[in-house]
Amino acid sequence: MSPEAQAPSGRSRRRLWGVIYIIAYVTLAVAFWYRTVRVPRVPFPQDDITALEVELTDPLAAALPATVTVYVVCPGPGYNCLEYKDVSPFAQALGEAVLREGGLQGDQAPLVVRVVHDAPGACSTSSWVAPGAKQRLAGASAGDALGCLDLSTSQELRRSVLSLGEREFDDWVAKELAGQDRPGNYFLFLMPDPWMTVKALPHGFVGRRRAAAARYVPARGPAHETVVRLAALLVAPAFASYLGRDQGQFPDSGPDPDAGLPLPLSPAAQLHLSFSLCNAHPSPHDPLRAASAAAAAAAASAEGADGPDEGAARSAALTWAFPSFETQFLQPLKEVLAPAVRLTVSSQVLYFTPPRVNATWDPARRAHVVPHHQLPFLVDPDWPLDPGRTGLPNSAAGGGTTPYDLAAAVAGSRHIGVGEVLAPPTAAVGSAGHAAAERAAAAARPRLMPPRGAEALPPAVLNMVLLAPPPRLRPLLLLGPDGEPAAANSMRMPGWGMLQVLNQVPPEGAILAAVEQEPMQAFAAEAVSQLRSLLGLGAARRALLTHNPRHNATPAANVGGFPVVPRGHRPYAGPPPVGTLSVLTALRTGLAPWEVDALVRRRVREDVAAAGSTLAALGRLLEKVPTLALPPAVGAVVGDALGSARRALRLAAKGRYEEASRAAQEARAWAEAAFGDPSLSARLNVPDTHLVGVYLPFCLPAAVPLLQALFAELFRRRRSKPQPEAAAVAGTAAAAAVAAAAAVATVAAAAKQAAPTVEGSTPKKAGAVAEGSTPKKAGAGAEAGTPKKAQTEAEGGTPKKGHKHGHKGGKHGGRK
Amino acid sequence: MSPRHTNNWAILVSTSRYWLNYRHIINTFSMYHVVKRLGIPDSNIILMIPDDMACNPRNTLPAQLFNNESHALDVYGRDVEVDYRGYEVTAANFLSVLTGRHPPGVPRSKRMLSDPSSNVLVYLSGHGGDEFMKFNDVEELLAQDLADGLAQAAEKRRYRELLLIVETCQAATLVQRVDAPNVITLACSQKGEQSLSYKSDPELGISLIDRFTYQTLAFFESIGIDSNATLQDLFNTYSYDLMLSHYSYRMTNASRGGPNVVKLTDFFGSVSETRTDSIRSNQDSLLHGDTNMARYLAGYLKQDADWDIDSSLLQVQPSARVHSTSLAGLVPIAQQRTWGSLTVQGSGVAVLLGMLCLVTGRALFRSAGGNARAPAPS
Repeated sequence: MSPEAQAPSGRSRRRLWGVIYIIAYVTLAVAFWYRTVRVPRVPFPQDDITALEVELTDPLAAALPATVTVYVVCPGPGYNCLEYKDVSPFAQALGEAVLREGGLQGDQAPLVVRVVHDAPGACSTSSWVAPGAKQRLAGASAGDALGCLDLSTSQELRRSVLSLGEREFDDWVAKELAGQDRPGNYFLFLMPDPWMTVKALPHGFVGRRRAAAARYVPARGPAHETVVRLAALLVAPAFASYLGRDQGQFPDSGPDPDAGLPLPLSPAAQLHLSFSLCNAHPSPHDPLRAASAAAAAAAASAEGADGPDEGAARSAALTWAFPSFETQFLQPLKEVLAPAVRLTVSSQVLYFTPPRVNATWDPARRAHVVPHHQLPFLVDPDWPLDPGRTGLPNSAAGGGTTPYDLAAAVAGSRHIGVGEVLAPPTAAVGSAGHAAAERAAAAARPRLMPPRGAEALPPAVLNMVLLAPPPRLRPLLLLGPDGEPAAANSMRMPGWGMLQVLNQVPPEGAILAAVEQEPMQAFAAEAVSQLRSLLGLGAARRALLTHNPRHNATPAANVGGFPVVPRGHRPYAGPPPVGTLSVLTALRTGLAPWEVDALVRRRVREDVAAAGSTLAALGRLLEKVPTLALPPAVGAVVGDALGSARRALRLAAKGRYEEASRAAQEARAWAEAAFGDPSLSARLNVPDTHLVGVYLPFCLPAAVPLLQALFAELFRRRRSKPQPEAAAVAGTAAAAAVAAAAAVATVAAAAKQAAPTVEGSTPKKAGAVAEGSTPKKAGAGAEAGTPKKAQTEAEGGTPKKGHKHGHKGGKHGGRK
Repeated sequence: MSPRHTNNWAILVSTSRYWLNYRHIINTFSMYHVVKRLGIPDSNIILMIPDDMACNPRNTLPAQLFNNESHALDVYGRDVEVDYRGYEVTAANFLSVLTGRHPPGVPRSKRMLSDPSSNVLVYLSGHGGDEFMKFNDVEELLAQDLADGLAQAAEKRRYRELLLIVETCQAATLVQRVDAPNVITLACSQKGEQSLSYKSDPELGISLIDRFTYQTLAFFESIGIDSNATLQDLFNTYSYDLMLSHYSYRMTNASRGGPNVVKLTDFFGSVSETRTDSIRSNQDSLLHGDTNMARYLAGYLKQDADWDIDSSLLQVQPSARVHSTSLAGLVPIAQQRTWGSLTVQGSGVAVLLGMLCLVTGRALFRSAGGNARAPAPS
């Protein structure tokens, strides 16, 4: 090939490579730009979440069913018993009565009433299913349902059972129903009692586990109106609480002050109880004491009563033995709540925590009193109650060296069923098999474990405060809304916790004194009582406990042994309650399993609903907020939450309490973890003006030579006829230049405001680029015999000259 | 909106650092002082202070902070709990507090653990402009980011009602994009207006407070924890002559009514319902009142040897990892690769490569040797 033909071909090749380089540069730049500005989002299962939301609108969604087995004893002739044909109507009447007393609707409560009629020579059963639950529970098998216990055939057995006290009867039932005591499975024994007086009947009681019993007048029979009503009044609060949606109160007992409050549980179903012993003023040096005592004495003398006891002004710092307190009282509570809540505790002793409000001396009560309207301000926000300060989750419960949850393995729980009388452990410590037996017992115990990712979800905290008031204010009484002292000298605040006043007088001359056993025990009982209310379980117990005063229709104070109807409650306008009721307290735990079942029912419903609403909220936010990311890891958690929610729905429909509780906990925890993952909002909003500010200095230096090359090429093509073999290359170059121009179009458009600056800076930059971009041309000129001139122009020549030189060189070469 | 109001939270933010911005930090500390006085505990206050003015070497009154040249009230007080300090005060952290998105290791005290029954007070003080607010002089919180953050908090039902107070120049522009429900915004200045300082202290040589906050505090000094004062009462005390700017408010909860029905203690105080009833019966007792049981059980607790404790019952510590089942495996969602894991993985790869090299080298050596020994092809 001749040199004339080679020269244009070489230039075309160089131009082609240049164009390819430009294309590659622009392509990489665009990819890089996209990578830096894109918001990573994996596919979001919006359709599945919408379907879940629709599913959750069903009033029976995530509703755990309750089966109440009513065991009717018919001893035989002489007793008013049910006929075979009456068993089914009896079951229906009882079921409808339970729904009515519980304020439930038949289509919204999965209730099953199963009647076992134990008559001599005949053991018949019949079931009634609430209308809404018929389809769901049609396939549910009775499983190991209760059969007849020979109470009707064996007169001796019947007599011995009827002669048992309530606690003994409860223990006998537990023994007989050894394998059937499980959540959602409840028993009610209806027995004729010929020995009790007619006036005392019907009488019922709720046991410590999942059983209740009622005794009635033999002549009336189990289907008598009063017996059915009493049975319903027993079953509705005890076994059908939270069976329906938002149902935790009962029409008979008036409105529940704690209704509608959110459960004080974390999304991972964790609750931390922070126990604090607050010494208001443990020092004997109290400048306010003299003034306070003088004022109280003056007030007392004016009233003609005695002033405060000087002996009560002894001051000492009170301490408590929290490890043994935890072992004795809190560990059983942890265990009984384990299927519903992950309960943890910590403790601290605080000094110099004076109340924020001043108490006044009441000569009539011989005590300092804090009126009810001042109670919200009793706790000073300066009290360092927050367990975070003491190092949550570690605490001083184990002497500061052991984790606070260590007590979960202590001896107090060995071989002891919930609510049973304490028995010493059989396996000696250190004996062979002891540890294995303990592990097996612990593994068999239902409990919630922390779900994956739970460490990102802090626990909910309730404060349990025992306040030792300043000596000058001792004794201190908290007054209720009616002006009377609080029943246990305590108060609770929803979402915050409870406080009880400790009016213990320390020994004379003591600097440090321990809280005595009796007030510690009272504090434990009160803590359980208030915790019950804070967990929303108070309404059921209140309905049971206020039954007798309402029934007797006499001033409650005159009824020995029965609790006082809280003032402020509306008197019930409906039919008066029948019979009498009593409630057995679980001696070790304070909370009975039937109460925990209600908590599980409520929590499962709320957790699944919360998981659905959280995922739906995330979906709405992804549509609304364009900067919200959804990384793959979070997308996977969303999928897990969705799967767990569906599993909880399935398990709840089957009545599997423990598994449904776990699945609901996981669903909510994972939904919360997905919503709360910090990688979602890692990118802040960037307005258009900021984009210009960021990309202009980044892209303009690259855009200018591209544009210059484009213009130069176009100019060259217009000034010279394109060679046939160079036409294709020129066309490619033009296309690439157009692509380059398109790539920087955004910058060019956005740079309108800055156009004068850009134009003003163009010649200089163009010159600089011309110097850098034409070395080969300069080199070519030097090779052509004008090295000095070419060097001079390349180094110090103006941009225009350089441009011109290159252009001319091109022309010159073309001529050759 | 939840019908029940059971607790209060406050997020108090100063966005400015350096001595010359003393007044912005004092604004925030003054608000902190007010909400604590009115009953919100420290556990429910998120305080973001980017600089330590009390210990600043230019502070001639060390360990004290004053919002008035009379030096009557030390707003630093005895017990200040700053949750975010220094360069932790960022727009991202502020939005994290608002939306509840925190990395797993963030302690409880740095989180706003509110619920649908919480009333939240948000107070921002610092330098700002048209639709932005500077954070620490290095970044900006934009009006759209603030609106998005509030929208996310609303979607998650992290508040019942929220009062947002902004003390900055052109404050109204920062809150104009807020469309989250049940939010009341209060801006100290309009677009084009400055938020001016007040109370120059000759001893410190600097302005002590901003005019809007000063007016607000002057009102709050007169109310107590059981006050029934409303937002309208507060607005009635605002005057252009004193503030030299026009305040404005906006309520996105139309059904709430006007500011004359919004009690200030709903946001600045701790409103709590107190109950004194105790659901107890005469049978309520624990352990039959057996006082010996505690000693008995405590004795057993002491007898337990370490090896006898079922480790599956122990609380998992934050630094620990459960290896047993996937259910209990505490694996964070966005698990970061640590240097340790990278080292382990790298060592494994190195060992594998080494073995591969050995095998390959040996095979090559054998093949070379084999060729040498093999007879030449004919």
